[in-house]
Amino acid sequence: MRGFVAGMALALAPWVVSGCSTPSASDSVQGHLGLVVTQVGADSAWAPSQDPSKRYPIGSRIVYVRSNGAAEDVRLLSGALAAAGSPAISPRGDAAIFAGRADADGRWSIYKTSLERGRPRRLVEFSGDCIDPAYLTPQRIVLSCRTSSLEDWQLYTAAPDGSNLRRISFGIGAATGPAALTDGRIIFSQAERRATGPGSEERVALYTLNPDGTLLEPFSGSHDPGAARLQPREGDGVVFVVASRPSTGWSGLERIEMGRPQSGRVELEFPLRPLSVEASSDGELLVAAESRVPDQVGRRTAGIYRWIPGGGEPSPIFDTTDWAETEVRAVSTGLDRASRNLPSSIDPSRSVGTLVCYDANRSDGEVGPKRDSAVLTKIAIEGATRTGRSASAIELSRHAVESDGSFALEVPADTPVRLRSLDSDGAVIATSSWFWVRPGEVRACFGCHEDRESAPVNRPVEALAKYAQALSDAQGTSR
Amino acid sequence: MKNRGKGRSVGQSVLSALLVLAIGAPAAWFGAKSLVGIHIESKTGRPAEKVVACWYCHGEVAPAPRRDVADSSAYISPAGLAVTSGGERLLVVGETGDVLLVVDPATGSVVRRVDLPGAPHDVATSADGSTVAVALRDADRVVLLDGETFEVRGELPAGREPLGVRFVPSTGQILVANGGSRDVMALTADGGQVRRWGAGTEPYAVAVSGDSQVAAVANRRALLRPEPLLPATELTLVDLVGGRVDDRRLLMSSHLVEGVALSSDGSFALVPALRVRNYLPTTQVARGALMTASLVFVETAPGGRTVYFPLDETNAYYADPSDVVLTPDDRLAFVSHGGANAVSVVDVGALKNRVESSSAQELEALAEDLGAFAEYVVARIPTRDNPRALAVSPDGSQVFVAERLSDSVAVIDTERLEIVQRITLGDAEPDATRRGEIVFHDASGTFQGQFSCRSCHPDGHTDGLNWDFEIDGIGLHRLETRSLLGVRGTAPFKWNGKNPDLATQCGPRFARVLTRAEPFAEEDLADLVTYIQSLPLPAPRPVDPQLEDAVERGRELFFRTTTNSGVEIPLGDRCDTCHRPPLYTHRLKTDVHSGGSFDTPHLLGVADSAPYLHDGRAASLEEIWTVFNPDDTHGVTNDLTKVQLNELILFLRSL
Repeated sequence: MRGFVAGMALALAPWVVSGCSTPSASDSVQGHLGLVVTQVGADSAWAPSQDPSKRYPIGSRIVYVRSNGAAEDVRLLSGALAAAGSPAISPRGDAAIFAGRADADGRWSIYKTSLERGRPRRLVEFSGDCIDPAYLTPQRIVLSCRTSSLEDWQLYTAAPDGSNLRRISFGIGAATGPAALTDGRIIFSQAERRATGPGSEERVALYTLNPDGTLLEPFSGSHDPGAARLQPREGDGVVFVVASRPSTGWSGLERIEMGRPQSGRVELEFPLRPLSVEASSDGELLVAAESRVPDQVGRRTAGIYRWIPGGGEPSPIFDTTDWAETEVRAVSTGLDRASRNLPSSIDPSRSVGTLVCYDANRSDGEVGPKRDSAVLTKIAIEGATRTGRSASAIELSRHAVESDGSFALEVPADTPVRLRSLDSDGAVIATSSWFWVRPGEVRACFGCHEDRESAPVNRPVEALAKYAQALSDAQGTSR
Repeated sequence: MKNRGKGRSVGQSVLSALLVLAIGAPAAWFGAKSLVGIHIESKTGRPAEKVVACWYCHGEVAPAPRRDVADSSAYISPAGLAVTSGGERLLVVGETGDVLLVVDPATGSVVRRVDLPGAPHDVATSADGSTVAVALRDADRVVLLDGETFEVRGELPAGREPLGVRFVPSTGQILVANGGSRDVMALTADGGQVRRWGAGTEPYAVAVSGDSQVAAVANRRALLRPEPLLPATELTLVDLVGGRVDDRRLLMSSHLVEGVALSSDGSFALVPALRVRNYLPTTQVARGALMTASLVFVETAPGGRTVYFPLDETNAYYADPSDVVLTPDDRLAFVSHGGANAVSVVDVGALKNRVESSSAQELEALAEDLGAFAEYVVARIPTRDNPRALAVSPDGSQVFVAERLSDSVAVIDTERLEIVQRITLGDAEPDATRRGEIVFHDASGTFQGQFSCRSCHPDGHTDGLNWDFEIDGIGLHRLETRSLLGVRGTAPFKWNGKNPDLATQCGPRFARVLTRAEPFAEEDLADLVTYIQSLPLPAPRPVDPQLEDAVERGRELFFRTTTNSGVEIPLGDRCDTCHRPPLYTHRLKTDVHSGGSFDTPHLLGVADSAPYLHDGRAASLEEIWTVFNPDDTHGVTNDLTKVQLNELILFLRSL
């Protein structure tokens, strides 16, 4: 062990101070200050990925590092688990939840343990794998699960004791790495696969979602083929994310402005290869990062750094010889940045949702319909059929588009669907990404591939007068 | 045997009693219900849609009090600011404190206090500093004070509800924006009325260009425009030299326009506005779906452009933009956000560059671009509760911010762009009503802080707009916002009459269908209800003595039981059956064939709450009967002569 870098307690001051703002929780903060870190054996092969087996090879573990910098103050949290990762700290700062597997071939499950004592206990009963837990509020956690390795990771929410598990995402492609935003939404990484044509390379973009699974919205990166954005974390008015481009081996740290998430994304000049990031309320970052050069014996090395964007070299605060530190979470109460508890707007008694488009001709022109090149007359709605990990589209129905570009239709709930805009000859003008609606959800689209930083235009909408067109026979031909 | 027989007898009795209860109680309940239903029908002339408890109609209900000139409270509520010409004194008028406070900005201390009953709302100083004018909202007057001693020198009659006041530098004339009478007056200090121009809906603020050529009047609420026209607020541009209204510029989809600033040469005006999306259903709040804050750049020359610059961000909103000031060099604009507790600082040069460098199509797209703020918003300065009125020091080094619900004034250094001083005006501890007022004005209770209660209910009143609430089906029943003034005792609430009390109206369901955010905390909700119940009715409209007889004849028509030809009017078709005094509502739902059965609104202060009917289809009281009552389904009125209808309306306007 290279040992702790002196001054770690000072380094963590911003996280501690913010936590101390809640008097009722201050005792637990005083007692639990430190870091929770994922360690991967220095000789292991590992890579940032949505796939937990790549992120957390056998032998990976979770440790709690107290702040006084003494070696004996590292406590193993993942016990005898064969592999563990993706830790999250409870809002009171007294416990951690994380993903782990009991043996090399076992399923990934969610575990919880006190930071100070006891062994991890399994939290969620699920027939498949579960990873990436995060606290939404003290009353609710979010996680990512899949029923088998052939299925995509989907988001679920649960009570903090693991009960009351509810699925909230229904997309095509893996949904992983959820985190709470202070406004109450969830931000997460969604893999998208485009079948053919320009931009067909897989991308992992950031999306937001309400905790009840409604209001899926692209946040950033959905127009960046070949790029992956993982582990988003909210800072003060910004989101930090680890970005990579697997085909070139590039990775970097990005800052995305909440105020303009599509256009306000910048790559930070972080000199190391970032693996995970945590933001404090005063702009400091804790970054788990890999050195861009191997150590003397040719092994990859990674440690925990404190860094102020634009503030020079990152300061190492925790680094060990035998382990690569690949993820870091700061222990604080978290209550100073508590997420809002958003109400649910779904109606479980319904099997459909409603989709209202105000103007399908409104587009930023990148791939959407262009009014001058083709006249949009119909909308086809397509569902997905799955064969293993591949999905093919089936047309469910076609609907007329009103003269003002609007349409309103009912969509089967809790299943992936996408839209195709068609001209008068039935030729496809544009195809949307896969999305879903929840039962009873009324989803409004302001345009078709319109600028996602734009508000809707106030005007009478023809389709609203013809609201509640029933979804016609869900028959179609496989594409 | 005896005992067994007795036991059997007791058991039989109990069984019988249970049977009687099991059969009799529901029967009695249904019987009582039908009796109540019959009773209601006998009193309303229409089948009862809902059975209500006896107290519902027979309990004692006192209408809410009226706004009163004599009212003042423990709180100051700074509503208007002005700085004397040399910058030595900051003048603050307290609307609920009925006071003018003279503050030494160097020390932050109040050096003089002048009682001014009548809800002082705005204050201005003459160019030479000799005179101070204060608009008294509830007293329909402008008070003139000496600019050095601050002694009251006299008062001028204004229109109804004067809200804004400014001096014309070159002439010394006083311009007054009268919110109630919807006009602007030019007065001389000796009481002469030079001009009176009609304005938009609720003229609220006046600005005069430094060269005294142009005046701009911000009108707070949207004009009454029939659908499918977009709502629009008028910016009234007055040619002060020619003495005429030069332009009535429409600010499209705009509402809550409470401030205006003119550049020193009068070539452009800046107007904060809340831009509404009321034609779209309330399916979500995110991405500015309901309303956004904008700063409107208006070229004042005839045919000049009107450009909307959003002040919000894609994931953060700056609700309820209120006032705006320009630094004397026209370099920076400061905009207060009453619902966001913040002041935005805008680079005016960036606005001009954008206007000059963009095509008309690009400027149109800009209006909805929530990422555009980064081009021109240079700072956001957090404040205390409900920042509203602003004033800039003559040298441009400081901007003063009236923190209305904190009873304080924040002082912003215009170089550092931060608050450098806070002037405390009052220290009264907020009671439940005041705490509720703060909740009412604070947008943090809505998703990403996009709007507050006040956004649709300015001063508790109505925005006069129709909204398409998702909950009853999108595209159906676009409902007019109902005024909250005098709402106490008028339960149930909502147009469908489903909410029995205000706590329900503003409770978790409200969060689910409208604010899309965490419901109000229990104690905040209780305070909010207390505040809403405290909202007074509008001040009574004085009746012209010459019209008193006509009002009386209107009253007789309201309570009449026979038509002009002597035919008895069915009970259900008489005005006072459904609009029963003292609230002028029987609080039940009624179908007047306007498109459904709706809660019967009360009529107190009805003259101020246009438009009318559940979807606001009637722009005036007259239209209710001349346009939308062809079959006498909303009271028998078609036999009335034109004069009689006018008299009926005069009576209603007196309520």
